[in-house]
Amino acid sequence: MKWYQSPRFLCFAGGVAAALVGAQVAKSPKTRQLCVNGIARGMQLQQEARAALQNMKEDAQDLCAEAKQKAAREGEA
Amino acid sequence: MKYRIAYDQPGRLRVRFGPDAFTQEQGYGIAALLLGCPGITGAETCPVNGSVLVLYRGDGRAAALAVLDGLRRDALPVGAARDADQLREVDDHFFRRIAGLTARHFLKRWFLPAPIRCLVTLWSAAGYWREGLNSLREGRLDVAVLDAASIAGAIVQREWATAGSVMFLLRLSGLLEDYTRKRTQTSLRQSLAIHVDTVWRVNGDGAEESVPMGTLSAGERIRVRAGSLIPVDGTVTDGDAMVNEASMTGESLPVHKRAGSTVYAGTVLEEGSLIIRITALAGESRIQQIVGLIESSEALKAGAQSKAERLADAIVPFSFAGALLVGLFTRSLTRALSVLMVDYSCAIKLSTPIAIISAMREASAHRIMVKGGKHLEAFAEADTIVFDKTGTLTAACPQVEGVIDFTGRGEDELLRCAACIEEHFPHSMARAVTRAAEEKGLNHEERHAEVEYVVAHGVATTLEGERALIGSRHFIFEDEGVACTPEQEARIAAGANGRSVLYLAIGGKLAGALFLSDPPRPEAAQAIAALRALGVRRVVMLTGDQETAARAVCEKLGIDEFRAQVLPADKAALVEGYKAGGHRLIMVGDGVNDSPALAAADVSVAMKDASDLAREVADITLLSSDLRELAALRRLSQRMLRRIGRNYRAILSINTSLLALGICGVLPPTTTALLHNASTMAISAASMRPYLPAGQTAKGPERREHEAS
Repeated sequence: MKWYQSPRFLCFAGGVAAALVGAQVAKSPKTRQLCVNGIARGMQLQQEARAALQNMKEDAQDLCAEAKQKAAREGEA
Repeated sequence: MKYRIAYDQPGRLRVRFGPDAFTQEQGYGIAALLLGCPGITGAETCPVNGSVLVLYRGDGRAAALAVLDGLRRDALPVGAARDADQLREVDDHFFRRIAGLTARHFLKRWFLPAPIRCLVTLWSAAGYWREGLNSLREGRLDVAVLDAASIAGAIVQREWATAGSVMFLLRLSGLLEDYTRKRTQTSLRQSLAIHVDTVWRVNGDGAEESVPMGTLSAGERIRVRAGSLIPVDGTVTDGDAMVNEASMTGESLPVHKRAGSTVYAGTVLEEGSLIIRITALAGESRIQQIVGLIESSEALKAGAQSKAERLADAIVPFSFAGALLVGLFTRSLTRALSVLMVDYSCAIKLSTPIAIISAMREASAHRIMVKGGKHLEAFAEADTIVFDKTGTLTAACPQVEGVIDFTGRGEDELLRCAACIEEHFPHSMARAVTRAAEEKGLNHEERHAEVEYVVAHGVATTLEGERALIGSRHFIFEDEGVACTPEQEARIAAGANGRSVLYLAIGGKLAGALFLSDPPRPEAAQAIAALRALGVRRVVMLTGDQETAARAVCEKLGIDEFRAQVLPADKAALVEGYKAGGHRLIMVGDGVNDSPALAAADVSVAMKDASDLAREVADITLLSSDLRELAALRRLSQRMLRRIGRNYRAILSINTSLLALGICGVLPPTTTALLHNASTMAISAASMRPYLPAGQTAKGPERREHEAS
């Protein structure tokens, strides 16, 4: 087996190649754009989740208020 | 701006503009705009989803929709948070954080791939390890070290879920504590802050204009008229007035102020009018400083947790020693770690603050501000309560208690004359006289000419052709030169019996005298009886009054001990004396002169209208003037102590059993950790239950306590 056929060397070479490619990919504007978009999407999702949670809470409050009002009206009647 | 009606039922309308339609401040502005419309009784806004809730009566709906239709994105009004908004925001913020924390915890557990989950757990754990190492470096073996060790233990054993749960529980307790502290502080600030929105500023040319408080600066002059709260500290430059400084000094009789006098924020101008040069604005004055002091002090937290944290810290070395011993004997890391996993401190650390904080919250719902948990403890354990009389057991509101007639017209006729002259004056003593006449059904026709008022002294007028005077001793005898025979003097002295005297002279002769006193609050006797039923063995009253007057009050209220003719300076010494006698003591007071005694007591309570200094010194402030709240607080604090005791016993027995089962190898560490966490959660949840049954307010039926422990 030649030295360049040994699994250790192949792993090492693969690692170096991956690091080189990775560095290039990380530096590329496209990756950056992808990351920015991803984070923005995440932030938007978080905000939407907050709004949805608030909506749910308010709807529950409205239902509660309605039930209370109904009970009060029935109590009067 | 477009909106959608989300809810529409009579009296309640909710619309949504969508997220980011307006900012927080614009939300307040919109709410203020809506509240300004007739028929609208309430308005809330939330910028998160752009919702606007309107509560209305009658045709408020149309008005609300008109306002909402008129909103334009580029010209939204801006406003400031009202009190209710601030509290609601604290609640909302807490709700969101709890929801976020819980969601993150379970999302991580369910959806994150195992290796990433491990990394995230490691990352969170690093924070705890840093804290633990800091404690170790400072030579402390405390809960932080144990937290770090048990998290590390779980991770070493590859129990990632357990490590995550432990951290989740720790965060939850921190969040709860933070929330309750914020809420307590907000309601405290609101209860103390003076609500004066606009004032009359006096410009250089003497013209007056109405301006918002916020625009004033020190050195400017403002006009304050009768019936108003003085909003600033300052010096009087012009005018003549009577100012009630009960909130500062506890003195119920108004004080005469004229050019050169100093006036304080929070005092009330009873009659007359003053121009005041501002020396300190409300923002800089005492009330705000006190709030600042309380906000910045760590006492709130330290008090609430000191006992639990001390105990929790004290257990830590034993936990480590136990783990070491188990490790040595069993030669098994798993079993050694099972000791660390089932630590007592976690449950104690979580459940005790929750129990204390729930008690503090419940107290504030009863309008009682408690500055720290340790004060509740002291309040529950005290066996003696000392009351200051004026302003505490009494309402600092004088009443006519007797009349002496020297003319033969009869006491009622004399009272009628006095009321006839006095009714035109909104002065606390004058009001007492008119009220007394009204209560007796003594109607009078206007029989006098123009009334002349001599500030701080009395009233002069012409009644049926004769000069009539009513006022202080100084005014009648010295200024007006009315004669008083020794017999009259003796009768007045005998009748007065320590009470204040108002003199009436008609036609240059002394016609009679009215005795005024400050009667005890109507609920005082009930409150004292309730406190006794709750284990207070000794009730003491301190007063500057004569002994006979003090004895009468004590008999009326069921107080067994009193000290009459006490000088303000002696109060603290008396309190120290009781403490030296081995009593644990509650001091209840309100005036500036009570402050040293308040500071000397084990726990001190300031009344609603107490001076700032008294409030600053006092550990507990009543925000309602109902003395029965003291009994409610006693009941609450005792139940809190009992609950903490019960929690300790439950934690001890559950965790000792788990520990034994873990050491014997009956249960694996995962199961013990799970049971430990579940029991911790259950005990904490149980600690949140209200202490006093719903509907049992201070005014509710007084029930005898059956001590469970």
